[in-house]
Amino acid sequence: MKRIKYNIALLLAASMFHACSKDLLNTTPNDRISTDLFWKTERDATLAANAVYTFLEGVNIFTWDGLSDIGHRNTLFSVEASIERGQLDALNGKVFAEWDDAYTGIRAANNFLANADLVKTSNATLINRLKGEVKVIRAYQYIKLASLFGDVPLVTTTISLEEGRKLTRTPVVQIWDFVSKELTEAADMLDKTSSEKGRVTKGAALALKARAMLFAGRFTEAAAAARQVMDLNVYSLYPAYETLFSYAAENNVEVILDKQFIKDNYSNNVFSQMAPYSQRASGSFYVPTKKLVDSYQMINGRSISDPASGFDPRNPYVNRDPRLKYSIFVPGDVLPDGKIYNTRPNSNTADAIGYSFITTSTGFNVKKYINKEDLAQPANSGINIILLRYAEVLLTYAEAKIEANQIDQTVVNAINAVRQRKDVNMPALSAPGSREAMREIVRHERLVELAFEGLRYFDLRRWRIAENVLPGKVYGMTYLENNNLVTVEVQAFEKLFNKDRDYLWPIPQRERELNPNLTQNPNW
Amino acid sequence: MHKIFTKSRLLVLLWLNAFISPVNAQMFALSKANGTSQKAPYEFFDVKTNNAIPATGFEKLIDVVVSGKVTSQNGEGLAGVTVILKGTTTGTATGADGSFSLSIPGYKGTLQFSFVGFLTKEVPVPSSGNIQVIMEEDSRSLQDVVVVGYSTQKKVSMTSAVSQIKGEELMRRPVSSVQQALQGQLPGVTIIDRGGGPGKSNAFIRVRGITTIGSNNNPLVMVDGVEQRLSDINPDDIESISVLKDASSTAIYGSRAANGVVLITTRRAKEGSVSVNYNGFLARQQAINNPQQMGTEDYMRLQNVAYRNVGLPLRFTEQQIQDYLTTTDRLKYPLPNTWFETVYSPAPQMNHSLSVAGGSNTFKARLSLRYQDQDGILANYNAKTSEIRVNTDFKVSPKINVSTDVNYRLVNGVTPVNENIVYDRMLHGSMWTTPKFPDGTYGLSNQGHNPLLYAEAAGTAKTIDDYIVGNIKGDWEIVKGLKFTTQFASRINLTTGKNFTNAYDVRDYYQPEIIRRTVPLSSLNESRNSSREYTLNNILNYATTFGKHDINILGGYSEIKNTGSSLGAFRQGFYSNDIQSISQGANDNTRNNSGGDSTWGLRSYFSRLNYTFADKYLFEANARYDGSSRFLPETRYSFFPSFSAGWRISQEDFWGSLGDAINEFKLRGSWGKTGNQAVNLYSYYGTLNLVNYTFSGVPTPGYVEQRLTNQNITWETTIQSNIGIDAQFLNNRITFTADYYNKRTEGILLLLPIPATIGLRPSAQNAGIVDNKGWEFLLGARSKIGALGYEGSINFSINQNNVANLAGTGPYISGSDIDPRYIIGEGYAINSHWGYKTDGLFQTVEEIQKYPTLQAGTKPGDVKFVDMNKDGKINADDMTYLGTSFPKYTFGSSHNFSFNGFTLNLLFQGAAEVQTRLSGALAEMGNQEGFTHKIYADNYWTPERTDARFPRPAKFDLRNVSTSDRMLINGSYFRLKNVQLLYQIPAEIARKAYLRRASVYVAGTNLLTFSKLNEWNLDPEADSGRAQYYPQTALYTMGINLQF
Repeated sequence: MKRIKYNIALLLAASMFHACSKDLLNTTPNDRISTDLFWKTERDATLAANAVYTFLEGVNIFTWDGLSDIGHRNTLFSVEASIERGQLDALNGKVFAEWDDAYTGIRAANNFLANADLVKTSNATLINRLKGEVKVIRAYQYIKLASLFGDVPLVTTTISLEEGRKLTRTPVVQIWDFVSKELTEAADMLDKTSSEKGRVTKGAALALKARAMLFAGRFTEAAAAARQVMDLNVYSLYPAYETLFSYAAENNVEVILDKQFIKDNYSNNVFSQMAPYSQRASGSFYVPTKKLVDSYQMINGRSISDPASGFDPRNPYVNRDPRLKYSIFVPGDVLPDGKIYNTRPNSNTADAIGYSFITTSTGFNVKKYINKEDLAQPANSGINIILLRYAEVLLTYAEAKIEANQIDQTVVNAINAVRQRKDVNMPALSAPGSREAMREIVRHERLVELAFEGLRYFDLRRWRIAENVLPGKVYGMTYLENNNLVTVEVQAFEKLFNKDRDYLWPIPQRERELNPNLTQNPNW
Repeated sequence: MHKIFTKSRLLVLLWLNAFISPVNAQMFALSKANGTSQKAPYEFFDVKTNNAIPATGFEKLIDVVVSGKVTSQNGEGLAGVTVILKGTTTGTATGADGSFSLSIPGYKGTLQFSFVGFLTKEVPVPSSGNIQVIMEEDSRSLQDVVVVGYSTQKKVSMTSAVSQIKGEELMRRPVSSVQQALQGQLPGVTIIDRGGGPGKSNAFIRVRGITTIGSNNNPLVMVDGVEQRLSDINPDDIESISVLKDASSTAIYGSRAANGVVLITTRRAKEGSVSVNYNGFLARQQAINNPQQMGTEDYMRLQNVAYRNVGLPLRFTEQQIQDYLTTTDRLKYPLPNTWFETVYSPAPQMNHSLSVAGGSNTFKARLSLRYQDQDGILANYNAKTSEIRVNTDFKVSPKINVSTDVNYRLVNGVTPVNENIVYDRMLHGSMWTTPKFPDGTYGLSNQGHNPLLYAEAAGTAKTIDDYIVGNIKGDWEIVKGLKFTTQFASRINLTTGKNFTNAYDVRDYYQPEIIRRTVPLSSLNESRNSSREYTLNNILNYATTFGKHDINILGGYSEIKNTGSSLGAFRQGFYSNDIQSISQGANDNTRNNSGGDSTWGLRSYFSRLNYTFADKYLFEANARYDGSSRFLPETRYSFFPSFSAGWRISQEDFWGSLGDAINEFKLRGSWGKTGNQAVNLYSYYGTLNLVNYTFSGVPTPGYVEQRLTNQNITWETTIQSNIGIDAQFLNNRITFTADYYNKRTEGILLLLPIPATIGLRPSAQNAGIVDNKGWEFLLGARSKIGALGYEGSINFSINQNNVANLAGTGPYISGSDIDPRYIIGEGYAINSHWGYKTDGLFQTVEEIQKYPTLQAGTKPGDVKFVDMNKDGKINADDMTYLGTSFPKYTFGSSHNFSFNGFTLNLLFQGAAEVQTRLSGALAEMGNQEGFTHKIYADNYWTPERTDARFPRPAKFDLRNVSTSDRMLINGSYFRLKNVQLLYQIPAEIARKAYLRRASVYVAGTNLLTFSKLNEWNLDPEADSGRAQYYPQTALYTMGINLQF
């Protein structure tokens, strides 16, 4: 009996020892992909390149016009509003976010480029093409960094922590050199078209190069790159500006580079951010200003300030450049839900100025990308956001030629092509004018054609006109009250711009704390 | 068979029922009523052998009454003493004067007298039927045993810093969690109780300060030898809690011990009759810290001043102000902010605990059950806990013991689907909102918010938590003094989560065609998380004594393996908000699921040596060798040794007559190393994460590296030395303990920010040194004057935290201009407040011209920020140290008075030298669109009121809100944490209800607080920031304890 008890106890003890496992401490994760396992097949290369696309800008492009003279951040205590007010500093969250997002995208690209050759494949063409795609997206990040910050560290490898702490700022000239070289190389690695819509093509590399060289003030190079895009004969203007930003027009002949989205799986929230408040309490993040609305000419090609234009302030939205109503919700428009857009103060509609904190403060809303398909689920839009389209290339070509003082008929043709798109059909320019006159024309065309497509803020900076056009009160719609015209003024708000400081953003404070080698831009 | 007669009266009665005719039973009853012992008129026989059984066995059936009085040594009657006939269920308790009477079956057996604070006394049943019993106070000290790592030790021979508290002391106040129960009880143990909703206690525990930055600062919690969480334990099941504080006591837990170790033992049955205990309470929880909105007119006029001060048109016309003040239509003209009244309402809580314990020499068992149902103070908030524990002990042979414990708990919880937004929106962005219109329509603020809507109608998050711990342990005394112990425990935790977000539209009450807020699709996020962990402990212990030498050697092996997995599913677009099953959601591209697995292991070897000479000179050494799967093989193992020694000076001859006053005096010291392995799993692996993209409208996967890999990562090491004294005075009536410690943590696992140019998120690095130095004092006293008994203790702790080194990096500043800003920098305590110093308000334009300002446009009435570096500019370089966010001093004291059956228990507790930074609406004085505290009324700067406490209001302008000493409030406090009055029902009354003991009590928690934060209506333990949390509540409790 006693022996049995002992045996039971020993058995118990033995069973416990059995629990010891040899591999107790050698654990391998099965819920993530180890870098050791990756970079084996060409599929790995494709998957890594795909990830780099996620770092392209999407809805963020609205920020850039929102901070310019043609837009306004509607929510007053956002970081963007403080930038508008000139209250940004090196601690500003938006400043850091732009820096951080760009370098995160650059890391992903560098990581791809450092490892792509490890892949064992006979399909060198594929790897080459993917490298080209990644180089273009990396260049896209550097264009933004150079435009916002000027000199920035040029990182082209997968740097270590120690290297990261010692980087210095590369002169912006060298950044532009790098961008130019990269995009030229990439163009050679890429095909003219891709079976998968949304992949970077030769045209995207060249068009981006045209934009970059224009930003850099290298006009000959810009014009040449633009010309190369035009000569590809791949792109043309989509006939309907009105539906250019609709689902039906996705991947149309005018799109050169876009950020692709798909409802549910990889969606954006353009509708809930930008649509008028009455459309299911959407956000009106950035709203157009009077400046933008007034910029659209009369249908006869005259500015509304021209007494001969026929502009009727009591009926301000008729007989205007059609792009006004294609791009902007103005009072009287039909909303996605079928109701009429009415922003008149105290009109007791949800879009009436002052109805809510979120309701537009200028009386206007952006219409581009606001599609009624998204009304049901405002935060689940699948619409692709166009980052570069053919109209911009034409205007870049024109502007670069004008600035390079090579004004010829091709310049006029390029501008006219944009002005005379089928459903725009503004009067054509007859003959080349003076350089100054042509500059005015092309700048105007850029403003109205590309409004709220992410370029205006950068244009103001490179044209060095921000201190003239930005500061001051923000105005909105004009309406009749007791038979008097009243122009809406955004309450408690004034834009500021310090020309000695604000043409370059500050290097984020935290970056300088972590890497004392980074110098600060002047006057910050 | 006949043995049964003498053993159990119950069985005899059963036997009687079977064999005695009803008539005879009646006769038996008669004789009993006479109260006399009488010989049975029957003969009994053994059914098996047919042999007659002597009638002596039957005498037991006839009850006699024993009565008497129990007194203390100085002659007063002791009330509430438990009197039990040993080995039976028969018992009673003494009345107010100490007297008792008890019916027992015959003048045989032993009476057992027990009472808290006194030594249990056993007296043979007197033949006279009358007895006087004098009970001796329990001097404790010599017998007290303290639970330490893998063992127990006599308190007198301890050489390390360990605080222990018994379950009964802990449970003096009704609490729903162990953390709450521990608060204020032990020196060196700081508990910050930030309230938290039902089932989500937001109390955390720090032993001797904060040792590490960022990663885990929680102590290791071991329940009966198995790592668990404090929240895993039913407070009613606790026998004792030991907190191991210095390295000599914690080193045996090696790599998990850097933050101290909390050892909990659960109650086990004692040999003897079955006892049944019931403990139940009902409580009412009430929000007590409700910030008070400024009066409507004051607020409107403040707004006008704020608008005018920045050159804007006035916000309200005089007519509008009058409209708001005189209106009878509060739907149309709502009050500015009524959320604290409309969202919070008092909520009930109930708790029932039942335990049954008893057993024989060979088998003992204790069963306990708990049911707790607690509502939250806002809608859709509840937690129900059901729990069972069975602890059993078998004596397989005289040398082998086996115990098996099982604990199962089920917690069902529900909260609003996004509870934080409720608290946030009560303060922010919800002004001038009608909470609810008569037809049920929710009002919306200008910004589109309504916290009541978020609480009531936004959806619910439901959790079901199953927790099972099984534990089997065997002891084998191989030869005398040599004992082998093996333990295997398994812990399983399954959590089911169901977060359902309702679809809804909020329409304008006056214009229902306008949708003012929409959630177009309902959605369900369902999750299943499981974790399984087994622990194996094998310990060999040898204890021997020869001459004056006592030696105890312990060696052990331990391993822990944990596997976890998670599964999540998402669908949206349900038929209605009531259909909440995952398969009822849209079966389209929006379906989504996720999951993951994890595994980690820990392998350890440990040993301990105790050596005592002549009960005077004490020495101990510990060592542990730990290997963790969290590190690569090269850095995997680490060694953690410790040494300690003690000298009982009071045992020396020279102590002599001093012993009358100071009967125990011990000096002790220790040194040791412990570690911390709290890094994320697999952090040394470079990994790629799956991301989504799309081409041509087809979803496309992608892989990208997101985190910087650190392959050199290894243990964090803490080296701690400690010296202390233990003393007892006046025959142990007063006890005193003091400790000084110096703790240095090296190679801290820091999640340091890295340059963004690297393009990856950081991973933890071993960098930096943090020091903690401090003092701890504990003074305890017991006394009895007449009928008044007293027992109490006071503890006091000082902790000085300092970041000594950040490996050439830093300082790291987190936070923002308008939120708390913390610094982790060399020379400062971890997370010290950082910001501007201020020097009052600017009064004149001339003054402003002569001094630098933070922003252009500074006007009289604005805050004057100090130019610390005197460079003529106010910028981030002028920011400086403003105070600590973790208290330097903490103290607690508990006092227990007893008088004639009444017991009054008071628990005071507090902290000092700690700063709280207000931010968000609380700090912005209405300059944004948030709640505006009444403290600002008539107390802001205007040209007519230049001595105002607060600056001039300036709408949408936060220049005066930048983190500065102005918005730091002294967070020191002293509070009556708990008061409880208990009445022990006189034994004679209890007996009538067949109760051995019964008591009733009322209690209140968080009743009285002295703190600077009172004027802000904030709880002093609240975290700095925007006050977005389930608030600390007051608790009013009524309860009973019954013992059958």
